[in-house]
Amino acid sequence: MRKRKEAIFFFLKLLLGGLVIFPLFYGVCLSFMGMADIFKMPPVFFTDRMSWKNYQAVFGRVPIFTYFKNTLLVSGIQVAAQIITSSLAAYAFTFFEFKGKKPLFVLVLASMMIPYESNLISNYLTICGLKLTDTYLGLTLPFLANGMSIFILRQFYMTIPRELKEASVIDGCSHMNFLVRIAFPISKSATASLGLYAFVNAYNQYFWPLLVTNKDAMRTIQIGTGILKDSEGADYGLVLAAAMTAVLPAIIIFIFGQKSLVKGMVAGAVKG
Amino acid sequence: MKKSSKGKKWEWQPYLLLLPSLIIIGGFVFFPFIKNIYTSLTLTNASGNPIKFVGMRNYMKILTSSEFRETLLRTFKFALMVGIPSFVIGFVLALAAAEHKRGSRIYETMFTIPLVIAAAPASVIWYLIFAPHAGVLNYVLKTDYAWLAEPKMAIWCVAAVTAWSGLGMNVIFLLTGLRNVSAELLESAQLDGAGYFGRLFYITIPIASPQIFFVIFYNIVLSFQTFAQIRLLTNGGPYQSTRTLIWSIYEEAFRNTRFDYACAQSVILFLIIFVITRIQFLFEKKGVNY
Amino acid sequence: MKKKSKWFQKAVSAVCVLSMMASLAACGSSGNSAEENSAKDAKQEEAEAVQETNVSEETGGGEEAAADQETSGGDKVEITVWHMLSGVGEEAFTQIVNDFNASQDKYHVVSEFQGSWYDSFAKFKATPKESLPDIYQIVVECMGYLKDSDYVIPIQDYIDSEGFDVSGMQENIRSLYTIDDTLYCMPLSVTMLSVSYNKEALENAGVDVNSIKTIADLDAAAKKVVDAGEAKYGWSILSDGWQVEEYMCLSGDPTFDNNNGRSGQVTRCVMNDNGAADTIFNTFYEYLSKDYNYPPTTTIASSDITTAFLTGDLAMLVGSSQWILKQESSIENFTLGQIAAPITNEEVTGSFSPGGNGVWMIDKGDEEKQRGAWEFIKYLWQDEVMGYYAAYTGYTPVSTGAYNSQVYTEFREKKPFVEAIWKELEECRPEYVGAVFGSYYDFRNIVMDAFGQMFGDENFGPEDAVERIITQIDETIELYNEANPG
Repeated sequence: MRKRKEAIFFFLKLLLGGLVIFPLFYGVCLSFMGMADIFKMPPVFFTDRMSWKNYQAVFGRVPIFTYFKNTLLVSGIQVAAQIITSSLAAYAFTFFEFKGKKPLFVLVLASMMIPYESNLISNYLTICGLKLTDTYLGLTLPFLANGMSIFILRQFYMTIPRELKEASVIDGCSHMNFLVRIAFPISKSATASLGLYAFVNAYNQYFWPLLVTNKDAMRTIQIGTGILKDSEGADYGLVLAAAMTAVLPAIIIFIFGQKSLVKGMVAGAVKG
Repeated sequence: MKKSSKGKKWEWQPYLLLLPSLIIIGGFVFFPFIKNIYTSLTLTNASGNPIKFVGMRNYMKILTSSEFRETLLRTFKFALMVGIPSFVIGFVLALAAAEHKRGSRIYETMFTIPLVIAAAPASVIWYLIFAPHAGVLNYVLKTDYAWLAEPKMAIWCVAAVTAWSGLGMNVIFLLTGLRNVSAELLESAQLDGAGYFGRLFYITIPIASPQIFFVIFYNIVLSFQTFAQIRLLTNGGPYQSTRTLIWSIYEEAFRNTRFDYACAQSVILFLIIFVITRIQFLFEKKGVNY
Repeated sequence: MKKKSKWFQKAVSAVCVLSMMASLAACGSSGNSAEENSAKDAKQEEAEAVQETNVSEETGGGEEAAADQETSGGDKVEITVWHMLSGVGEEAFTQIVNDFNASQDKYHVVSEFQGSWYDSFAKFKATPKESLPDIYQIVVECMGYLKDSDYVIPIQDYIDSEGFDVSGMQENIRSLYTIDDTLYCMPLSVTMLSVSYNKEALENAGVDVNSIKTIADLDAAAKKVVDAGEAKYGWSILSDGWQVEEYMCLSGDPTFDNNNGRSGQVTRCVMNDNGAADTIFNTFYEYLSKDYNYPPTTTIASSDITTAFLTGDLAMLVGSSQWILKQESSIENFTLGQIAAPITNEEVTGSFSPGGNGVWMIDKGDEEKQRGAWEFIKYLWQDEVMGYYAAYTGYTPVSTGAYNSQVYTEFREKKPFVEAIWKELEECRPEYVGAVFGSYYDFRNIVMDAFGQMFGDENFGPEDAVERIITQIDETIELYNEANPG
């Protein structure tokens, strides 16, 4: 009886998942079609005229691999940097009492409320002034730290029991040691979530890389698909093929990231 | 050197730990923002450079314009339209995926997929779903409605797409919180006779409250700043019916090059978000347990 | 647990932070070696790319194109071009750039895509002078800003100093980019307002396309086609604001004062001083509201309208000739035809104006680079090059020479209707070209919203639309002039 109930729930959840994932599935199907099929009524998911034509066009027109490489590199740098800077900062906010702690934390939170778009031009001018256009540093500098990331980790660190910390102090463990050997491993799941968040944000940036890079060799994949979209605006098959090409690596990385997420969850139960 | 006198001695370690973050955030978030505040008090020319100090004139002009008041109202409406469904649905999905059952990884992955689909491809796909005549939505509902071109419906559609995009993030964060709840605790509660909802409200939610609080906060802050979907789906239209404050800022800054208005509006937006989150933090004291 | 002194821990953390920063700086400088790497990668990708691509042999695979761009030969003077072309425009332009680089060894041109015209323009305006490109390719709408800025060199200066012959330039196009006898930029792409139509649908319904002169004629033809069951909708118009200005040029009345901004700074919108705007809006309202037509309620509707045309649901579409032509490959069910846009009525005294984009020279204080930019512009001007560009992209040629060039003549044979577009260009009159004005984006939005709303909103009629446009744009102009005196 219990097995039946579980099976039913499983299928319900699968259905729910299917609904959530539907737009992606639809997009993939359409990316193999031409305009006439896309607008067929009633809408179709598979036709016998599906082909790789759109993908060929995408690979032929823009240097996709260069864009991939740049996007992955830029995203990776941002993720690594944010994990480091946010862990340090969140640790400071959680395990120390110091002068200015509350106002500084408020500042960190406030930084999340400042509309990102309004700073774009100013940051662009800063990067121009530092002569960092067309460099990886220029692309990532404003994003090496982030208020949201600090907040995420701080929330998690606050759940680490005081006793653990106190016990480690008695053992003579220094702060850095505690951070690296205990706090960090425990928060793997939160860190992984943060990493995913940072990665996705970095991966999806469009206007900032457009501003800061001029050379094709430094451009990212969102710009690449943008090049195709603006003109080929009405050939949705082509636009979708480009979009799916951009989405695929993100999905792969994500699925791997999920694994460590789950591992972290299992290890996360803090026993006293 | 033992840490015996907590709080008495001036410790410089925390400041060192905070330094890298503060440099970056200070230089790239606060510094431009201060500049923006200054710019909002000036008149800017066609290149975007301030040329004349005009005090509060920009603010007066903006706050007295009916167009701005409509935009403001719309922004609040939109924030709710995005934040509430995204959080609620995300929470339900997270609950559904929280327990480790056989094959649970499959639907767990499915629930979080919207996260990896950037706004651009998502918008193209949803644009096609909403299309009149041949769109999937019209087919399913047996209507022939131009969803994105109707002023009353457009904002709901954009909100739906944004909520969908935000699902992934919500599910992940909420899962982190939900999974913090130890299985033994739940089991022993169940043995004690607590029902599903009893366990939910008295054990799970309180323990997961830091993450829940964060997710609500995140949803609110983000839904005020939703930009990509508006840009890709409706460009603020039809007839400005999807023009939220962030879109207005973007359009003024990047399309009309009216930096003075754009900066004034971003200061206003910041103040709004700030006030709302202050209110939310008051709730933190009450509801969140660490 | 090992005991480590606190001091040591602090040192370690400081070193971590510093080394992280340092390694990022190192990453930054390796951005240059990324160029060389991508060139190496390109050779490998080339093999696959060449097989898979269906782009013409000349451009080769995407990676190769990028590599070509970056490997400058060290001694050459590098000239940067910022452009907003994508799709076929980008391919054609890249080919031209590569040919130019191959044809001489003094200069190396690098062309860089900067987003759609408003993204590109926003970036351009924000960029400090030293980081600007040497050549800027942008739409004609930006002329008002560019001509006044102090870092643009009108190409007239170079034309005069060298006695360069641009007499073959189509006079209406020249007029578009000239103020006070100074030609500001080299025109690159030209497009005309035209009617794109479904050849078979019209033939089957018995419509003689060449008899369509006025909007009334167009509408009658549309009704005929729909009644014959050849299409779901009769006609429509792409509404982004440009169409209204075109019809104002046609009416003979200026849209703005001071001769449409060509004799001085614009101070107000005069488009309805003689009722010309009312006539235009009333005409469109009258005809497009009919139930067999497809009214453009907003730009979202514009994408839907384009789609409706491309799939055969809509029989005739008034819009930019190049915009539809370049999407011809998406058309599966019919043959495309194009004719000149219909006139409002017989009383008009003006003519349409060409639209498009051009190439501007930027003054960065570097004499050598300006020379290079000018050499590239001269190369661009050649008949065969301009002809190739027009044939590849579907834009109209800028000169008679280009029109008669070998490559364009072949193109004309395949698509005879482009001759009608050229004829439309020739029939324009130079006095009736578009306005020069600083707040184009705003204006287009205002017009587009008002134009669309008159169809979608029962309480908002054509004359309300005109009135609102004038009120709103006058406000914007006033603000603009206050912020940009002189």
